[in-house]
Amino acid sequence: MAVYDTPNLTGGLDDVLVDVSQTLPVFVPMILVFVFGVVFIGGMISQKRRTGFVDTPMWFMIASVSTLFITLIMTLVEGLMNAPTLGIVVAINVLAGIWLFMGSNRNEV
Amino acid sequence: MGQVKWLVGLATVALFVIALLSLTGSFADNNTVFIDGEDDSILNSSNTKIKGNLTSFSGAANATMVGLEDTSTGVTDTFQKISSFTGGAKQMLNSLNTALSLVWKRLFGGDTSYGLFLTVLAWVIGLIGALYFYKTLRGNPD
Repeated sequence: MAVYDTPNLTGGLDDVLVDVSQTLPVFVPMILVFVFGVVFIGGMISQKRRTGFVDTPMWFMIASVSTLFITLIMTLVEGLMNAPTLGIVVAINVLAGIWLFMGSNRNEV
Repeated sequence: MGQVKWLVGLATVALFVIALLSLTGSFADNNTVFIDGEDDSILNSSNTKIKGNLTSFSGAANATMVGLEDTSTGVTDTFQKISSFTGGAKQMLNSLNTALSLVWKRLFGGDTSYGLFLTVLAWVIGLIGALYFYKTLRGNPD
């Protein structure tokens, strides 16, 4: 027995994403979390290798902005994004801005 | 001490939030979107509040700068009022408060039960301060 209905694979990739997100509402937020995590953790590890120190606020900001752009692109497809998710992504961006601009540690910005 | 740094940081945060909210609004205006950031009441009200704070900041900072110029070119040739960077500090703090309010409402839903987090955080900061005070008086608290 399938956990959820199989999406229609003949309508295009966006239809598959919409079908899955309608069946599993947490699907899109988890994609955004994945994007955020890849940029955030990957960037920090890369900077650690390159310079020897990690600028966490900067990578938090870069990961947030990357996630925001993915979110904005997702608003172009009907049924893929909802307003609370967009609001939460914007709020995380604001939090990243406060952390980056009000912080006193050295960074590469 | 550090006054300029803090005010520049506050102004940058305010400008960043405006740019961020304007970006979501402009993206919606220029494209056929199905979810518009401007439809969100919290995002919209935050944008309006921060723009109002920046307008007030501009007026206050200009007024203080005019006062500085007037006093510095006076008969006495002495600075009687050096406070150009303090002009508008209140508005900048208000903009930071608005940004934090946006984060609070969106990430925590504005639920008062999450006040527990801030209470614990304030308690930890107070404990650290008390330990530093004790360390200053008596030496290493460890």
